[in-house]
Amino acid sequence: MSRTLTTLREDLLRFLGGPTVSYMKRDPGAIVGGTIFLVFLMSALFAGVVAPYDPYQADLANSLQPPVGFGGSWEHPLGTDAIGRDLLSRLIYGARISLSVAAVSVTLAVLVGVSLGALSGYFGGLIDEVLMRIVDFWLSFPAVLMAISLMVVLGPGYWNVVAAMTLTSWVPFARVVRGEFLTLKERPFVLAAKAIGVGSAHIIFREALPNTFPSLIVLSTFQLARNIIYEASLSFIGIGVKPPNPSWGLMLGTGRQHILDAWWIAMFPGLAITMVVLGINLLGDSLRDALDPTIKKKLGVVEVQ
Amino acid sequence: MTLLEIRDLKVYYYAFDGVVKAVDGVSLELESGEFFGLIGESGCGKSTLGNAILRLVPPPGRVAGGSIYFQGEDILQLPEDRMREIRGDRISMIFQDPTAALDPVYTIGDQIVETILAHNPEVSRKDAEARAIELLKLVGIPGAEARVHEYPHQFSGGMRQRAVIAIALANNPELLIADEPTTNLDVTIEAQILTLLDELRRKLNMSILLITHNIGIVAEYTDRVGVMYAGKLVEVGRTVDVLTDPKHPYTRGLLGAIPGRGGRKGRVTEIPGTVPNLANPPPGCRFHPRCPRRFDPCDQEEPALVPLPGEGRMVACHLYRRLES
Repeated sequence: MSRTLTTLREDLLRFLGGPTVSYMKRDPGAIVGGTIFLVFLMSALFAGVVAPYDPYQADLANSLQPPVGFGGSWEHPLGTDAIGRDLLSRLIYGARISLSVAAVSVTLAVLVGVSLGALSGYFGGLIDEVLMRIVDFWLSFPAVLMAISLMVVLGPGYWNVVAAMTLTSWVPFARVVRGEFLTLKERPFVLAAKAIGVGSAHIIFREALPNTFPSLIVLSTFQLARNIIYEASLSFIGIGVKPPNPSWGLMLGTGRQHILDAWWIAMFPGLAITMVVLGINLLGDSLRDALDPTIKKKLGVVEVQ
Repeated sequence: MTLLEIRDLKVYYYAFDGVVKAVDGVSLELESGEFFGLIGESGCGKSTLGNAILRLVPPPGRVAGGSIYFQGEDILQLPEDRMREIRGDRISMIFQDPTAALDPVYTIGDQIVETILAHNPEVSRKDAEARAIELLKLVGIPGAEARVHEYPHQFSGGMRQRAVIAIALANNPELLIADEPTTNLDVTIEAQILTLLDELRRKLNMSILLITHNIGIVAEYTDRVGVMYAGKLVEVGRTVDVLTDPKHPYTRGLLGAIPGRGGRKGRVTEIPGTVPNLANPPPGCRFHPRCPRRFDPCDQEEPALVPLPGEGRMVACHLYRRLES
């Protein structure tokens, strides 16, 4: 079992290596998406270094400064908010919140969803019946409504947002993995694997699961984008991350009050959300193509039939 | 020496609309090092029989009775983990569709290495990789050192089947079950693959159970042949004997359906009718509705497999019981 798990990690790494990278290097979508994502990721990781100001430091003397080119100065390139906090710095720190909430919740959702989906699809029968009815119940609830209800019950806060995100995004993983397992377990190579004398754990982890990686990785990127939007939405309506944390959704929400006299307060967080989601989606699309093992013909490998 | 002995094996599929008796009381013996052909029309239960030997009959199928002795041990009674030790190690199987039998996300080398390590955890990965290259050379894949790192889709159909054979041979099995290994390949590749299997059989001293509907390849390669019809073994014997002097009317019908036999004037004759529904087989001899030589007992009494003169020759037909008495 432990050998199975370590080799599973190797599979995943090998999957993302070599041909995948060389394919993506030639895909303009991946380059654009990857660049955008990388800029945000770097901002999030090195916020302390790149942010010019403390995101929490109010400076009432400089409140509501417009951005450069709209009457502002390079002191505050994207302007300041109602209490004079530097918008650029807040956006940079906001990337940290957005990306980490999304990344942590998607990771947890993958763990929960994939385990339950694999159990369901591989073993079938009563387990499948019970798990899938739970999934149906979950799906019959609008996700936004569920997220809002959860936040109302749990109260605002970073980890509560993560919990709400996880609880609303594990379902697609369970469904996709179950579906893939249902077809994969009928595939002749699974019978062939049984014929070489391996057990269920080997078949689940080594034969079936790696074949779901393309779908899983693509679904993860889309769920990542979705959770960024959800976090922003929850914070926007005031039940997500607590102020004064620089969440993009929170900034968007407070900026709304100044939309007519200081449009930049709402504009830039909105733009940041759009850009990062677009970047991740472009990356996800390209990953989907790149992870198809037969894609190598696109790389010029001649295949003689 | 008897390697495999199947006794009165029954494999049934428990479907919604009834029990399909795909294999219904088949007894068969395989000698060590022997090339045995199992022929019959589509749907006669020959693949089910092959799967049953590895205990891999897909649900809703189940072994409903009988026993399978492999080197004296009834493998139907073994616990699942003991059975797993046998699969891929002492009994291997190659499947009809080499493309589907290979996992698309692993290199050919990885899949051979995996098979070796599954049964020999003490072997290092490096040694297993060396063995994988050796196996690819053995099955005649040129440039094995490079191709071991390629994925299944980079192989041609014939090369894929060679790779599948390499996987099957990885642990030197004593018995290889080949379920229509060449059905999806063209004729020249078919001849290459079968010649290769035959050579490997001699070299490695294993037995091969070849499941096919192609009488031509049975005639060419096998030592003995069994003819299955509607879940029953109807005739068995040395290939030469069965094909030159078929006893069962069904075997005769099969041979008559091959174009080109019987010289210029020979006509292809078909067997009228179709294989019966195995959920509800005809009473008595299952072949009697299609049989040109049926008589009184045929629709009432099921004929048993009885020995005839000739080495290991058996037939299940009332015609011969009548001759006897």
